[in-house]
Amino acid sequence: MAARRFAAVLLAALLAPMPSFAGDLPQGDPAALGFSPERLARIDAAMWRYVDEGKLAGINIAVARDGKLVYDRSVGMADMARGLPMSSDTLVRIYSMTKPVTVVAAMMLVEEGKLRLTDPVARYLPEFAATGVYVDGGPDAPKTRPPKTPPKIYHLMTHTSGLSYPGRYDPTPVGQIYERKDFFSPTNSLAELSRKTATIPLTDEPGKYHYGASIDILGRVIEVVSGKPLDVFLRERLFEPLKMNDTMFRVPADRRGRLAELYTRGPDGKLAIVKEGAGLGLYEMDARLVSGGGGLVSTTADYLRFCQMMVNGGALDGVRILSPKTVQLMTQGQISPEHRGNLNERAPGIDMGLGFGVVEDVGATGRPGSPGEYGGGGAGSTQFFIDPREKIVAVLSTQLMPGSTYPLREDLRALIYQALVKPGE
Amino acid sequence: MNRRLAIVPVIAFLLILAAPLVAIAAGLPSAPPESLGFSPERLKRVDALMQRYVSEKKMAGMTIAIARDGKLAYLRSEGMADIAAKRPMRDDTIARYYSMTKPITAVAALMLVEEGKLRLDDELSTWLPEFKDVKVYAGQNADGGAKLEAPVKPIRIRDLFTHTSGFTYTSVADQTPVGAAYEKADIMRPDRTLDEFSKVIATLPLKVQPNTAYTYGVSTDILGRVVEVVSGEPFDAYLKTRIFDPLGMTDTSFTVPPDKLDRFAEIYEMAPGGGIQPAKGDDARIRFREGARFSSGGGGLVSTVGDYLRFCQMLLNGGALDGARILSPKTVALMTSPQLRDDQLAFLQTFMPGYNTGLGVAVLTDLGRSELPGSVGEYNWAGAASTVFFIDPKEKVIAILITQLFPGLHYPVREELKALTYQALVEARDVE
Repeated sequence: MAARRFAAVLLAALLAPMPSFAGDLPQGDPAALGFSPERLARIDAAMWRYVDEGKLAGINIAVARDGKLVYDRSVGMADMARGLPMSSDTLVRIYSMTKPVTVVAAMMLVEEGKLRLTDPVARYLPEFAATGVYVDGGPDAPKTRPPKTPPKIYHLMTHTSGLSYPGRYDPTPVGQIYERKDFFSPTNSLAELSRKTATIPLTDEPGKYHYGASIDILGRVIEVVSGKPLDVFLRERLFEPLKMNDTMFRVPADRRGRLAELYTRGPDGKLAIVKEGAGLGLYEMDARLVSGGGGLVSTTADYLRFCQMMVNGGALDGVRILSPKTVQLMTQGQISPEHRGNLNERAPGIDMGLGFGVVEDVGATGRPGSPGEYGGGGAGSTQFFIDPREKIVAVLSTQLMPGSTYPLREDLRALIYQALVKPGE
Repeated sequence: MNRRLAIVPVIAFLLILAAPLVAIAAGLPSAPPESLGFSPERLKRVDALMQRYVSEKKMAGMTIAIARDGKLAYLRSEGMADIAAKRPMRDDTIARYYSMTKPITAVAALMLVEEGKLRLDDELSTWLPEFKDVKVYAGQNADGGAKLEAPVKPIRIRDLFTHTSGFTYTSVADQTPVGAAYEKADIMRPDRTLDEFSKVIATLPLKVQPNTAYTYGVSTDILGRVVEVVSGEPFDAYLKTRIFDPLGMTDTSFTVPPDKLDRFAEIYEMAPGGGIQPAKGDDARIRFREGARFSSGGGGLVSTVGDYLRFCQMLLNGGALDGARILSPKTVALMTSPQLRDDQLAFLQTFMPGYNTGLGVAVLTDLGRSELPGSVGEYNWAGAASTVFFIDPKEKVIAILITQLFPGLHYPVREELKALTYQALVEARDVE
């Protein structure tokens, strides 16, 4: 009898989407904050579909408006083998969702007058003084020419520096060189990574969008300008003030138990565990590389606090990180259409701000939303967006490589905006 | 005879007279036009327009409704719904709305997008596998046969909303060899189900490469089939339970029930010697009668002004009417946002300069180029029997013009409805 009751409780616990209370954002009343509770329940249904169909092991979505939490639910497992349920406190590899954090850190130095967007990168990293633009010759004997405009800090923040990523992201000869030089190797220090990257030709004349290593190099700039290792700078200046206590580059043994397993879709269509690559070495305590482009582990709860700081105009709970005018600058579209490269093929209707993609044309995005909404995603399928008009922040956590497997950002936005029945304007 | 009994037929007669008066408010409540910012004097020019069309025998009858802030400022019917049967055009006349079905189908599909079941980026062939090997027309071979190419990009659900799928219509609307192939396949046969229709379309070549150019065609019919597959419900049943019943659109359906045939308007066409005559052809005769099987999301609905007003008011309200929530405000905003680049819009702009396409409606983006008064953000569509509607979210105005005359673009009714509505709007909000 008792065993049956236990089984029933266990079953109920498995079946019910688990409410949890993300971060220290206060709980809000969804209806009073303009959300239909009935329509919010559709988010549960959509998460269940992903898990029931075996597409994701687990998924968590949290949404806040006006600084108050209106939704935080989880479905499925963070680690199926260990029976670890997904929650807004699960540690997940946020990969490229590290980039906005690194850009915020760099903007703090800009606000202090120690760094300028117009400064050439080579002023801080002299190894880039001789870096040329690829002309021809292939990966074995690349020929280059000097850039007309040397890459600036601004170019790093907007992915217009001409820096690239290894071949699986960029199949061109330049991408192949990144691959050969083992760009993501965890055994290099950030200083060594910067020197190695400076020997690889730029893909284009600076000014043209090309997704790549720009934010990692910006991380090294932060080290040189601040005189502190990037991980220390971020911890002292961002994570501790914002109480992002679960955001870190290395995962110590006492927190490994909360770290989600990383999955991928196997050849049979079923979930398989990623055992190597994917930067897994970066999270080990003995790793050396601190990757400002993709190295952080965080939780939905922590990342919501980061987003809330942004939507508040740079401060949270009395802690001022940036001024509102700096946040405004970061969240403006920066790149004219002729310099966008393949940006709008991958993300129609999106322009780049400093560290974020910014919605320029809601219609072209094919999703509901607001002009000026900004956000991003990570290679582990995590997603977030911030809507400054509606004062909405939303974070989705899961762990599936690669991030393009399922249209999770589109689903996140579609599900949240369909539940918003009282928009602010 | 007892005097009290004698009064009974009088009351009954008065009730009969009163009944249509109550029905006048069908759709939305009415209010004095001046209280809604319209000049009653200038609204008389709308009467004059309708009377001109009817007295000059260009049209049998016409109804125009103009609403603002959820209230009817103007509703009037002129002329006949059926000349031979001597039935006048009335505010509750049932008419063929043809392509004014398209916005309703778009809403139906967006409801599934909101539930997370359908995505605008989904490839069409994931829902309708018959389109997996669809080919694109690329000119004639030397032997006269059609040269076919593989699509460069797949057709996505979004292309069905924006008419960038490459689908077209029959040769009435499309004089190319692809239009002729549609004609030969007799695509609009009323005895086919949506499933059968979709499989026929999948055997025909696309007119242009997907996602390159606006080509008006059967995209919205195919979208209706997608709604069936995603929802697991027949399209007509889905529309009834999810849209028409919640919104109280009691006279909107794909076929006219027998007990409502006395309210169903005749359809006319231009007579060879001038004037009009009842339209020939199966499309207008059989398609809307019981027994027809084709639930055409591109053009199959009959409706009334009152019903369509309620649909429009739901959109204008940001997705809800009288407590029935159909879409969220943000989804309506997306539906009514411009979707395509200028270089994709050549065809649309030949007949609607200054417009882009939203999802299921055309959206005004350039007031000056449209050559008509209006507001940027106004959205509209029209039907093949010369019906038209528009919604102005800035001024909170809805206007609908209903008649039953082929072909739809013969008289400039869209332009006239816009010009007359806005000239009567003397208290505008979007003008400095």
